[in-house]
Amino acid sequence: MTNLRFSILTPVYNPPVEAFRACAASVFAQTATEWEWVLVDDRSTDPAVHAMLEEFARDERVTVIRRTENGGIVAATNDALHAATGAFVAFLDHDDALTPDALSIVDEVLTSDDTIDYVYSDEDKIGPDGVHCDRFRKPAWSPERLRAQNYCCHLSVMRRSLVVELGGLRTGFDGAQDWDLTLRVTEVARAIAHIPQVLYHWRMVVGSVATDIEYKPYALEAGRRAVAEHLERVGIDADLEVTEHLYVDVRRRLTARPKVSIIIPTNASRKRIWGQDVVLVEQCVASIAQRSTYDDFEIVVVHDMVDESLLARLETLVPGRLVTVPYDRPFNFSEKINLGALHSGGDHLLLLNDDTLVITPEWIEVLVAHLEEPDVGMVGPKLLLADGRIQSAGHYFRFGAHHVAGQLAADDPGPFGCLTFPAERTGLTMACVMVPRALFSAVGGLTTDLPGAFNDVDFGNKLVEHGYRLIWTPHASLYHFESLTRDPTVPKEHIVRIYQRWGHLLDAPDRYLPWFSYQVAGLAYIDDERLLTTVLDSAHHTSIPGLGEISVEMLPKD
Amino acid sequence: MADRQPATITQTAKPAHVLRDLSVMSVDELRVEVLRLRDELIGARAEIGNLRSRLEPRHRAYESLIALERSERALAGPDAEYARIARRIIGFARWALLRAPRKAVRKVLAGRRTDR
Repeated sequence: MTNLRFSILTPVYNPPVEAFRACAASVFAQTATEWEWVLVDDRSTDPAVHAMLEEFARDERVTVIRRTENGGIVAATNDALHAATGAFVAFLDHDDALTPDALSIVDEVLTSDDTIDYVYSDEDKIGPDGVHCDRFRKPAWSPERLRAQNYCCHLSVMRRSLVVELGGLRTGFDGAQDWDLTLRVTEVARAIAHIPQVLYHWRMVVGSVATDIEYKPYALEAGRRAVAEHLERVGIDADLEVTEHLYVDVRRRLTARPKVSIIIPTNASRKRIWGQDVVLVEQCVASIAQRSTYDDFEIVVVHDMVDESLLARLETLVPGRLVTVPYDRPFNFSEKINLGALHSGGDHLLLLNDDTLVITPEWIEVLVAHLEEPDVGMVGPKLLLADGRIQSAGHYFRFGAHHVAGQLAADDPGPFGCLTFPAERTGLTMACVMVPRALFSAVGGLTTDLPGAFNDVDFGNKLVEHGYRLIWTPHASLYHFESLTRDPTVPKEHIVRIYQRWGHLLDAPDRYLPWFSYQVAGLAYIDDERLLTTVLDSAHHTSIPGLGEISVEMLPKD
Repeated sequence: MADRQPATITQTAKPAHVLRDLSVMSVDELRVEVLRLRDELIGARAEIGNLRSRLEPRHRAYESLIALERSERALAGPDAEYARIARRIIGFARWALLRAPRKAVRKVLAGRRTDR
């Protein structure tokens, strides 16, 4: 019985010699001391590789196992797992490299909380010219994203006892065996840690997934099956297929059809859209009535200054489903929504701006389906501007709250494909979100202290603080005709209010889309923390009495 | 002439919900009130969390500063405990280290005397 902390597991099969040597050098350069390296040679045919294995085996920390027959990556990794003695196993491919401090940083994190069963880090790639590229700034634990994309990947460190208990890697998932294992481990892990630091360099070797996933098409199918089995285990009914962007598309099927209350605050304003003068609320309700395929809904219109003829027209659009709630107080969006919620009878509340238009017929089904997971607190769709560009794909935080992908093309996949699949978000735009009624009530609805801006940021944070996930999905789309020329100025007291509550979250790098945190709105991507802070400090910070230096970076105009 | 005492100013504004008489509120108003109180409670907790997260780095820096000052004082003090112990250790080490060579020197010196 040893007290080793880490076992590095490396299946070996004819690696490029130089890459293999660099891999070994990165292991021997570890600043941590409590590790062993278990190499399993899967019947390599290259004599140079045999020689190198013999050389490495002279180090007492190295165990080399030679398989009698070629069994593939799953069998070789499982052999390494069975020979391992460390408390945690770290997976290292034979042509990749660890940073020298990789294991010591992981050790530090594991020491901080002994319930952590799984740790993953950021990674980058080593190009054919030896230059590091494609740094992947990964999200904190994001289970919805893992169903679409194996974003955890390298470096992954798992508690050995848990991996053994789960039976190690499974045959039949070659090419996606690590994704399958990650899904199974995270289903039962007590705590999962993400280290936002590159601890692993993935070498782009011709024919490897690091260069192009299309080199291993069987891996995509194996990934799809791994996700399908995971969904079955966790009780999610869904149809799956591989997308054109080579991610797994999970389309959930509803197991129940709860009543949905669509709450629309309005003052019956008019606007010119696509050359036509329209009453926004009328157009919105008409699109719900004509395009929605979901049948169990009511529409609660909270109105001020609305004439009776308009209310009558709305009733004819959705006969028997309209609830009207008069509102005669000074403008307060939050108060209107709260009032609408109190007059509604649905199990779920769909909070909707009147300047929206339904695009996806199954939009309500898509939103409801995500709320079937008990820890999902709110879900929002993809919102498009009148010209078809993205208005919002959720919020990200960094020195304020910002729209994800604001003004990008509707079909832009986003960095690392993040706009092509549903995933966790730090915040969602209140122009269209669905939330369970009970949860809305439990957290006190929208705060009336923030009548216009930031009530969505506040509401989302209240849910997150209570342990709920917020999901953004591209599977439901609506137009949101918010004006590009709208004055983005927000009263200073509202900025102070939101910062009093959530300043510590708003200023930090975003939890789920850290990549965007390094892109200054409207400027270039700055992959340097110090430089970014300097730029933002000079551009957006100001001093507010009582709070000192805070950011006044507002939501972009649209 | 005696110094003038500063004026005492009492703020009379109260949180809005305190001013409300529950007995005259309708059920709907009460439900709104419950929502608002829940929001205030969660908001207050969030504010505490926010303040704590902003104060913690300062608190850590302050503690480090105090520790630094304490060690500087200890280093500067003539009767510092560390210095007394250090002198004893140094003295002991010198004694232990020199005892063996001293014996050898004595032997050499004694031999020389004999030679004479």
